[in-house]
Amino acid sequence: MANARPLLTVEGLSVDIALGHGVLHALRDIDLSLGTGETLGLVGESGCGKSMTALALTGLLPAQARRSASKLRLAGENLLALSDRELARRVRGNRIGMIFQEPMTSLNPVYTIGRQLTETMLLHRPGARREAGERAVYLLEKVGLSGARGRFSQYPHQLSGGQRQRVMIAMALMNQPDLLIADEPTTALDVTIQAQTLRLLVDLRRELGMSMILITHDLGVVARAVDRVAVMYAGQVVETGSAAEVFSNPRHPYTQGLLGCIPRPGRLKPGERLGSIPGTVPSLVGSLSGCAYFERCPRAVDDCRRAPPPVRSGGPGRTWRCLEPDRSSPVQAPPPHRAEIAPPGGSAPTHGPIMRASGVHCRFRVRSSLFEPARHVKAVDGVDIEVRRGEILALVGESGCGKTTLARVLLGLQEIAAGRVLLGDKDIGEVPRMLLTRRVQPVFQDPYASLNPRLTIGEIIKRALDLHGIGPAAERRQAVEQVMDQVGLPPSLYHRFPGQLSGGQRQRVAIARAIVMKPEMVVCDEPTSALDASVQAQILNLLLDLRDRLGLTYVIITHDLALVEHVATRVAVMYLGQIVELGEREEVFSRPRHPYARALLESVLTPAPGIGIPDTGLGHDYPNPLELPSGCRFHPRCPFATGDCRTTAPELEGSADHAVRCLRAAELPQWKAVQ
Amino acid sequence: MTQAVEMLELSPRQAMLRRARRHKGLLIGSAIMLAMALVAIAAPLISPYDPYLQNLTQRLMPPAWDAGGSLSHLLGTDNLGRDYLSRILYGARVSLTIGIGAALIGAIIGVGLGVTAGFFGGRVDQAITYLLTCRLALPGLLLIMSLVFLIGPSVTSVICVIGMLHWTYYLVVTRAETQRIRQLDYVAAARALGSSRLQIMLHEIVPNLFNQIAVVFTLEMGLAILSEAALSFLGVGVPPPTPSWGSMIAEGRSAMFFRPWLVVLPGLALFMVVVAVNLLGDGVRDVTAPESRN
Repeated sequence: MANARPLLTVEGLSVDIALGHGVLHALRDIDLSLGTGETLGLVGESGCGKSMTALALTGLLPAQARRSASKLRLAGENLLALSDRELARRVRGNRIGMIFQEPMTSLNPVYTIGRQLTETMLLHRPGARREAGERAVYLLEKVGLSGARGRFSQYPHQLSGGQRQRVMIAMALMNQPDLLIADEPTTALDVTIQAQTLRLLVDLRRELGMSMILITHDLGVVARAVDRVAVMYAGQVVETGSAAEVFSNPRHPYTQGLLGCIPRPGRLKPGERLGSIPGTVPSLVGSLSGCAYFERCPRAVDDCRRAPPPVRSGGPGRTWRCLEPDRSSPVQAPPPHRAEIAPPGGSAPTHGPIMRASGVHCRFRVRSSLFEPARHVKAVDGVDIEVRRGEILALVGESGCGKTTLARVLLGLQEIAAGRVLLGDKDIGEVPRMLLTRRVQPVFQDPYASLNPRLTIGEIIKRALDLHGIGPAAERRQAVEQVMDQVGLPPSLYHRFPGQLSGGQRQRVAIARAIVMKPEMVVCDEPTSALDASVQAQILNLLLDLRDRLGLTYVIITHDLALVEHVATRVAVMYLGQIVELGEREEVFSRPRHPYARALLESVLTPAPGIGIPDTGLGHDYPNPLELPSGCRFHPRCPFATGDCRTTAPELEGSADHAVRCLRAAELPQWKAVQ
Repeated sequence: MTQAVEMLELSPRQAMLRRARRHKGLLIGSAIMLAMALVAIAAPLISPYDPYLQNLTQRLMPPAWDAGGSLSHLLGTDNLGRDYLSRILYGARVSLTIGIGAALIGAIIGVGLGVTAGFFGGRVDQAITYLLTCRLALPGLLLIMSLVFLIGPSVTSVICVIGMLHWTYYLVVTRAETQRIRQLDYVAAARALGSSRLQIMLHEIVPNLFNQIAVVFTLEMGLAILSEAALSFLGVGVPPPTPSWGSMIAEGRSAMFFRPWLVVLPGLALFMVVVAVNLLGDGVRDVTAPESRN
């Protein structure tokens, strides 16, 4: 794995984009090298230049961008000397294969899988039709698609997201590339599929002896899948080294800050505040007079501002771009040590339920054509759950499991087909709408879609007070500014529009809107998953702080189990519209009993280099919710399924602390945590 | 690149003005429209003669630059000896009033129906879409002609009839956009705050339709001006002797081969207004598009 034979050498790679008001330096002076058979992880937050690096290597930059480099060699060939046509003919898709993030849009919907696969090869070697067909079948089998020959005539819409990403991987491998560039290959996939796909990529890389560049924002993915890491910040590589070195002994304050931002089991007590990186990424326009990280660095000294810091080296392949003024001082202010997630009152979170749902069913009509009878998707199918005062209840599961629909039921936004939802002791349908909305408020996932772009921040937050006529009109502005202060928004943003705010600021606005009426319960639908790691930590800390201060109850919907383990008090795992496991956090995380909950827990990729990627043992992709499996809904994917599971549907059984919906829960082997 | 934009710290209004100042089409279009509006308002002050004053001794005089023309009638006279320049200036009043009035009436009907259909969906949507299909199946100009003829031609009736029939674009555009916006989280958030349906439509959805409505408005304004001209040309538009560009073209038609300016001059005015309105519409779309706001 050593750098014996460098496959790719990059020195002094820069990309400039001329804008109306200056030159944007998308990449500054990037040095990278990649040995044959090695995997390099490019990691950093959005806008740091990860994808731009990949585009610059393959010559796919946007038209206005200018690339310059002192050296750009792929296995001895000088890429700088090649024209765009030569690059397209000889390098792209041939010697460098690429995989993109979005499997839903990167395959052409009007051509069959087979045609798209063979075309990749025929482009470079016209006439090799038979060979191309054979290789395509071989690769489809390799990437684990059953019935490869049958897949040939299928169209992309007949495959699931995970299957499409497998086809994309096969397509990238058609011409036996020396180098595979995977740009966020698993980000759009569900957690269980993510682990499977990543495992497949790493195995294939090893088997075919390629090199790979893996671009991702997810430190867990990088730690598990790569040999060497390059951490990028503001268009520069700020630290490189082997994965083990970078994760165990990070030298650059940015790397240290990023690692402090993600909840890692064992490092922090549940509920303890995460570290965070204050400030935002600097503008890439204009030249740098000092260290790019100066503004946000807790250890910065005057020297850092005067000149860009030199690259320091600590052995072969280990570099960092920092003066390291004072290594002993901590990277961030120690978080306030409030490890307990207890209600503000101090007693256990069992004051009785705020809300109780029993036997809730939700259906959606689906009609595929005019002449076929309409069918129903059972999005939520017989859910019993209560939300206790002061708790943080997490709903987890893959996309399509009904967790968002259930949340909308609790918010009163979704009609139910059967069952009852009680708020306090009244049916939610009988509670006046204005009263319900004062007690239960939402925070949505995508802060770009949850704020009306035509209204100012002040108007958005004040709207609730206006609608409910809370307080005298003259004092509402003051109330809004108070709430803005509580969520960490400066009052100067009052007259701004959402388009002028960063993602983290927008999410703060959404939280301010939710708490301005002082509700009892806030339903957060993936509150951090659209945000960068450093911002995620800030928002999570804010939610925990607000809960302490205002005595809120949270229902958090998420697919991120590391987050759940960090903040939740109770966990409900959902699968195909049903709750399959429900219990106290410690119980579920230390003794998961449902095979699906176990698989989910195994799929969590914590940044622990050297462990490798777990095999979750889930055979199939997520089933089509229109065709529910018989018996136990999980049996087609379950490694422990027996004949009984195929015919008998289990009930949710167990104590109030821990209930599970599995026929074989008692007989399953002891759970052993990987970490 | 978003970083760079954020760095400038422009308010959306400033950024929009900046884009507007750089947009040539918008500048030219709004300059012409502004000039037309001023001319229409100040017609009594700037026109050299009374547009209704007939002088049969000076019939069909050519414009000043033509052989036989005189500076006393810059653009010549028509077949009743009325000053052509004065009539064209007064004609701007009729054209602009009808353009703006009809486009407004159409907007109220079309946006109302479009937002309702898009927001409620289902049966309501089906009913409104059916209405749209019915309207599209009718031959527009023929219908307008017969309606105006039945009601009796006047500026008001022409505005109302044209407006009542020019709402289809508004409906199609706002319905599709409402369907998109309805799915967004900020509408769900407004519901969770307790907003009623009407409040959501007026407060969350309609403001976000502004760009689309503005573009269709300019388009419909041009079409309404042309419809009025066509009606007047066919003799069921604004009744004589009120000067309207359409009726002037109609009256000049009989002498078109010998006195071409009788048709060319009001035609040119019509052409300029429609081009300016369309430039304005495209400009408004480019400048206010929400994707360039981010």
